Amino acid sequence: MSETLPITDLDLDAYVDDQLDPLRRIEVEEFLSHNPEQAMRVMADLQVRDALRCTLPPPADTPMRCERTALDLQQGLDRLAWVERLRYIAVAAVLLAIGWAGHMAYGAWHPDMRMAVAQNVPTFVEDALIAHRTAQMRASMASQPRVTHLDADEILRATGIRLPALPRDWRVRDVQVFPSRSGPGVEVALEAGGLGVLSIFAGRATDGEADQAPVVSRVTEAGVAGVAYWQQGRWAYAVTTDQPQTDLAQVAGQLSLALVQPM
Amino acid sequence: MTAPTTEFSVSAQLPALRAYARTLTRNIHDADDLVQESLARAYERRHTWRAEGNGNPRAWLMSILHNVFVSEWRRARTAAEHVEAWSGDEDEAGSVAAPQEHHVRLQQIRRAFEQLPLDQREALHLVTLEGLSYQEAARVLDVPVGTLMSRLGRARAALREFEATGQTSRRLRVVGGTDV
Repeated sequence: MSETLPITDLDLDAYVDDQLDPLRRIEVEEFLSHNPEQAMRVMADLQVRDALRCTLPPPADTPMRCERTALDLQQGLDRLAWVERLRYIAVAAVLLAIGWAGHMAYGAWHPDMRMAVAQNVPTFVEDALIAHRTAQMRASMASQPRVTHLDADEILRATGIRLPALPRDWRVRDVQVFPSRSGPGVEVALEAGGLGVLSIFAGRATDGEADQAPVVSRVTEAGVAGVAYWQQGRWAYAVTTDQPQTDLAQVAGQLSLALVQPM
Repeated sequence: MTAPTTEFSVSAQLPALRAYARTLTRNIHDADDLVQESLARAYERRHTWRAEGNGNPRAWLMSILHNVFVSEWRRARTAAEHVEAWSGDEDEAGSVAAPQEHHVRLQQIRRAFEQLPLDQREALHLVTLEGLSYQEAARVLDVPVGTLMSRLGRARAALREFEATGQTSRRLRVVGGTDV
């Protein structure tokens, strides 16, 4: 150890506080073995440190009220993580405008549109994902009756929400009206022919009347493989799938087209 | 739930938060009130956790706790400053069982620690008991690293002094060793 830096009081303190890398620790120990006075001081500090650790262990038996507040915070942070994730995905997503005559060029390429989508849609998408997961949960419960008849006219009359006409080979597994932050929303769970299981969520758009082309996000959370969302007029739509191979862009394009010109 | 988790468990931080609060308030019941209030504050400020957490959520929570204590809590309660600084010793059941003479000595060190000024006590807590790096501890306390180190130095010197001259007849005799 010929070229080591001199050992200072700061090094001795940092040694006691466990702030040194192993090499420097060895140098300090080497120094201490030749300097009994400093060694005494360091031993005294270590003794105090260890005594404090013994006499002040983390308290046991956390009271329930602290646990409950901790749980609230946990849920708040988890929800935030979701929103951040979706926002990130939305910004990173490739805008796809498929089969939506008249909006294609603008919707797909205008840079302002991309930002508008990224900022405004996540609340709606969050509601759609909650509805999707709730529908999955309902499907697994024997006590929850399935509604396999989709009465789009009644839904339109009662909620004002227009649902797209569905291809004939799609089978409705369940229809539910859900609350969302912008009023009632409609969740339709489907077996979509060769496309697997999908759900469509429709509700009032949060930011007034506008048209926005479908945005496809690949989400890799349990129960969700991807979501496509778009806005037509006052209404926003999301298609969610738990099957990664589903071509959401195609489905979204097809459904948005069906809303303007029924199949 | 299937929502992406926040990468850390708040409830797993509770023992450390309560220990830190106990060092600040010197009383486990007040400490729990302080923890409770700080968690509620953290909820209000949850949008800052990624920006201010610096990848260490425990340090983020501790700095909120520190702020709640220094800016509001202590001010509100200084009038009723506890004479019974360590009368709330019931939580000592949790401390490591030690033979009688050690037990007495540990009690004395604990009291010496609790008598340190707040700024030294919390610096020593974060580094010695919590094992934070100097940088992390300085961030929690919102002071420069140099200030933190000088507080640590003074705290250590005081406890060393206590060890050398305290009521117990300790063999350790430390000479000199002025620092900072």
